[in-house]
Amino acid sequence: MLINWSDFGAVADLGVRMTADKLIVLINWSDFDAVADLGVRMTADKRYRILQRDLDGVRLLKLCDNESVTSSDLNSFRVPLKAGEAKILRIAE
Amino acid sequence: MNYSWGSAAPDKNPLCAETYPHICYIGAVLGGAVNGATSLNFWRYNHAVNLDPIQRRREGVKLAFSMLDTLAAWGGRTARIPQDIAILRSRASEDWFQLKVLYGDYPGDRIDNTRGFDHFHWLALQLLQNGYLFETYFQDHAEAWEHAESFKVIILPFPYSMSMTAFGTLAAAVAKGVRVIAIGARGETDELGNPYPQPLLKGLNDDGKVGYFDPDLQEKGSYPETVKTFFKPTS
Repeated sequence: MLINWSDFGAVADLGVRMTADKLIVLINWSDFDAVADLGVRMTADKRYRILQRDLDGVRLLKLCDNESVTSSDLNSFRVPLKAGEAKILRIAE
Repeated sequence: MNYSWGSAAPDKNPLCAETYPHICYIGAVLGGAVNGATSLNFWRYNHAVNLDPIQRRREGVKLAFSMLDTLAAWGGRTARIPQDIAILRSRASEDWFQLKVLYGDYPGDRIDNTRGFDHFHWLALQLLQNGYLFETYFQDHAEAWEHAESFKVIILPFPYSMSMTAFGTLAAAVAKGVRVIAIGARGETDELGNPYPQPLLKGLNDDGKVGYFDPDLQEKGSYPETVKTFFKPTS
């Protein structure tokens, strides 16, 4: 998997742990907003949901207003983080 | 987890609320958990949750452990970091090189004495900021990374001192096709600081089996050209 931080120089951190599902932890240590461009390789021909835990709680993350996404959608998607924000993403069928 | 115990007295340390915002707790806890920590405690926890008169840090601690609960419920305990990149940090290298700079026959500047430590932190920062996931092992304990051949890339941030055991394990991984990159040193001494006739990794480096990256990271590590060169794809 590949993750790029769009804001050059952002002091940001991440951790990813892999199970059958994918867990991604994004931490923005900086005092300015940042955007993470993510790419996750998943099995084709299946649909997935992304649950997001942020500082406010758990919610379903929509990509292009879709509640379920394909593996090709997950090849490249973007997650914004406010200054000092952390998010946990769970990608599962 | 460390934290400023003086922050319980904002009149003594008025900048604490800015210096230790919530992300200091949340980031430290989550970052530790996804990198293998199995127990998380805050030093001076009582100051954070009880003695802080504005209760700001209490909220940070609560949020941190609430998010940790979510991570655990979603399988964080059994999840694994992808076995793609391994960093082999060598404390022996850091120490023997420091002794050489401070008390040996080193011809350069004394500020170079932290080179091994600086290299490791430079490397970890570059990989984190560019989204590359990695596991870290101590090079000096070869038994901990004897499965090194399962990684795609092994990076040695400053392999100044290397035992023959570690070299053998590394050479076996190279033979299995693992790409190895050494930064700033090539096994100049053994694990006890005794110089080898020639650097251990020199042969593999000359044969093109081990890459060697040797800019002055303490001087130019943050230069865009340095970072670009490090991540430049090679055949």
